Amino acid sequence: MKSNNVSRASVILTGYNAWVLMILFQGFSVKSIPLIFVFTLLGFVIDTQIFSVVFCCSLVGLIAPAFLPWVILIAGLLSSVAGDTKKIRIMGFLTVTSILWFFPISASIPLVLVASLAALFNNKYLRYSLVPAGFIISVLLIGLPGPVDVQPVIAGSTITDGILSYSIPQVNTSRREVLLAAPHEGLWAVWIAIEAGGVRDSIPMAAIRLGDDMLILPAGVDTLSFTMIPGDTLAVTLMRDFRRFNHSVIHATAGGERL
Amino acid sequence: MKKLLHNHLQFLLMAGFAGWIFISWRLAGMPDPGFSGRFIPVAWFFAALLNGSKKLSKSFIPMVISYSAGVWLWMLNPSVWVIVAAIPVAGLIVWSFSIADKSGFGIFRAILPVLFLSLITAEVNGDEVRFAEQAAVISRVSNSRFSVTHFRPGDISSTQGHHTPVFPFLISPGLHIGDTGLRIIPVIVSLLAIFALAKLTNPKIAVAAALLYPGFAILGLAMTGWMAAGLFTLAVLLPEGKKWLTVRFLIALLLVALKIRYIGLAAGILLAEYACIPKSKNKWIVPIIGIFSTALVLVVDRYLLNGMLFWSRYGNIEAVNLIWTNTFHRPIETLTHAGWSLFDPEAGLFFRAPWVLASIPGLFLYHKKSPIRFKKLFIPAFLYWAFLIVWSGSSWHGLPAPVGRMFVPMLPLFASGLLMVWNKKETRILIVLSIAVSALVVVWPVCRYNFADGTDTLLSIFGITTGFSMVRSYSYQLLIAGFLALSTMLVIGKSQKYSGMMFVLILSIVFFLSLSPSGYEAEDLTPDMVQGARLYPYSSDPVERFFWFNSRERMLELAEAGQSVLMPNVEAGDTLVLQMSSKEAELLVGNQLIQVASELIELPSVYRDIGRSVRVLPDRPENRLMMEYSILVDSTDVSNQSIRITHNSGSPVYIDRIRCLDSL
Repeated sequence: MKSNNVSRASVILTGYNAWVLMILFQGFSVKSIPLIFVFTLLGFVIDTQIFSVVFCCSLVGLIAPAFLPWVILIAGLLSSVAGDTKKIRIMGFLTVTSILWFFPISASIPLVLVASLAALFNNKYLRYSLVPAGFIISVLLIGLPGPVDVQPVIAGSTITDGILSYSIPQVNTSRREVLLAAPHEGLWAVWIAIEAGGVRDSIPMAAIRLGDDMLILPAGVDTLSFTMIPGDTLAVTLMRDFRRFNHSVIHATAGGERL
Repeated sequence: MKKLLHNHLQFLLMAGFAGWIFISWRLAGMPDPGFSGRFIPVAWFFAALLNGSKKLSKSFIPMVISYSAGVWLWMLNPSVWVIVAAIPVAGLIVWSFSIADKSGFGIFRAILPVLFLSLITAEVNGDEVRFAEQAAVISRVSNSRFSVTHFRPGDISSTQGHHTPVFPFLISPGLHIGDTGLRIIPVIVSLLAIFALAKLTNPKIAVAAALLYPGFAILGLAMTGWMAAGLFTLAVLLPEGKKWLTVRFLIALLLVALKIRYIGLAAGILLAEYACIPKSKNKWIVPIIGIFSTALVLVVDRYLLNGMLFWSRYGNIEAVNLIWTNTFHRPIETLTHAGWSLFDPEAGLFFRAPWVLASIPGLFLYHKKSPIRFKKLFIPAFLYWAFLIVWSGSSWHGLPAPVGRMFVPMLPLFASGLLMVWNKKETRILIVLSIAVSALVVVWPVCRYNFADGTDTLLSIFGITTGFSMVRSYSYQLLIAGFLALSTMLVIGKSQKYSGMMFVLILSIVFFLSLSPSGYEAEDLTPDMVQGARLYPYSSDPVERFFWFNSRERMLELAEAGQSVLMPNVEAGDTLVLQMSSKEAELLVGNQLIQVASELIELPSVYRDIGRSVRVLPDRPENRLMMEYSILVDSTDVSNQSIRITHNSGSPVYIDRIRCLDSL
């Protein structure tokens, strides 16, 4: 075997070993299987310009499982478009399709189309333009792939001398709902200040839900108050889907006092 | 048209990419369009203007494609947009390397776009404000934001800070144009230091040292690190000869006047100079006389002048006593601090600046190439580091000010090492990781800071918590980390292929994965597990925890009604292990009442001799012994596979760690 092939094989096998060890430490998840494709890809691209990006993707994939679909898609798309040889580009295409098999990602058809076309074309300028073109077509016709994990986020809370305050993360199209749980005892007067914006119209964009009650708010600043008892949960939900030139976002602050 | 395209193709491509960032950001609806979505394209356009006819590097196309794919997929995860935005910033840093060695102010052209991004994203930190307040008093020019002085931990009084007046005096001209001029002189100082570094190494290396950590941490900020690095470089570059020795002596004095922390660096410059003099019979008598006379001055100051010359922080006899204690009474702790200064994820050198791992084997090659210059670089840098650790002890990191700033004066040494290994493939991997760190810090400026609480702001972007930290780990883990670092250095020193490097890097990741904390650290509990409970101390500022003797982790306080911890995945028969302390309190775990009471700890004997008065530990939560309570969970305690822990009565309870042991 040529020394380059030895180097390539060792990179691939080391990657596989890292994957196995990751499973030993974190438990087996079927969703980590596409990482095998990324490590194979890493071995294929060792002497090319895209090595740095694929390497960073494989590192992040190993240590941060929440980022797996994103890093695998980036490594796959980049390799299928900018790979020097057909072998690399086909491997990139397989990586893209593998991730879509294990993570059902919405609006993913353009991704597969770009990866498959790139694997076939030999003209590099044509291939380079495929990703921006695919992105623009997605934006104009289908919309962008949505969040993989659609679970709502729970806001943190602190109580100081009977005064309650919440720290609420930003709500946007990648994190659509945040929940504010009531303390486990007592009756609480809670207020919430909502600042919704980033849109270019006055169509309702935020839903505030407590038990059976729901309020729908358009963009702007609103302050609402409620009474909460143990077991109650106040939900702040973004009602907008992705729309080009819109940066739909809800910033909220909330607090309360024990009655 | 063809000629126009031919002559300005590089400009058009870069400007086109700037436009593409701006438009695609809006098309995709990514967060932060008003700030990052404007300034990153502006920086790229700025770079296009500065590029001239320089051909674009080969990484440009992969970078454009990665960014385009990233922006397409930004909604997959709430934090992904940060990484997407970091891709063009990383590209900008790569561009900076490529243009650095071009004629016509290549270094400055390379630095300016990234410096611009660094300056607009780095918020003015507490040290800068303190310098500005002092500068405003000295120059009497600023009458707005910085005209009122405030007391901060470590200051002598509200009007007298712990900083010497040299640096404030130096930056005071900038305040003539108002508060916004605070960083004008520091930017000039940084650029001059980079220029000096370029003379020592080469322009590309100097730019790398500036745009990667630790240099990037305070590039252009009103802090003293870059000035110290510049002065150190200057001392190395000066020609030999007696008159230049005088200049070196003045540089050493200026370093001490700039900040007493640089005394190790200053002493090192003189010592290195002395070490390079040819051997003679009485060569070592002079430094010995120097050390004893310094000690004599300190003793006279302390016992005859009652500390009039030097304040506590500025090197009186108590400080000498502290150095003695740290070196001879607690050498293991001091060695541990030295280890964490290299490996801690929050503030350690190698974690933020992996390229330094490559530069160390490079230093061996540098030693072979120019042994005298190596001595002049190594002795001061090593003494600076040693003095920092021995004198500062557990507060060596200087957090919460920008991470890595303490290592900036050592840059000339590391840059010289990097010079020798720059072209190695393995070095490139470490450079890529270092670029990623700087790029992420630009896009997510909170990463510039850490709070010595076991959670690194950079890792938290990726949702990673690790048990490996200076505030919560065991020293043996440092040995493993040291072994891995050594392996990396050997691979870089010997190998010509990626295989060895990949193996070591992946082993490092496995090490990292294996350190996942068992159980829950109280300060890392997620919001769905904690309702209402606060962390103690209430401020995240690590200065408040610098002098804790027990543990320097923050603790979860359960003190009043409504506060609770809800532990998930608990079943009847499991054992809940709580590490906690309290003066005297009752805690309700499920339906079981637990009496919590712990004793005050004793002041470790080595500390009793330090200080001017008798030390007694006050009755504070941090001074109480952490006790381990094991609670066997009953079926009546559990509801929906979770158990609630609440405060019932008495003093507050402080929880450090919670573990659930499954029933057999």
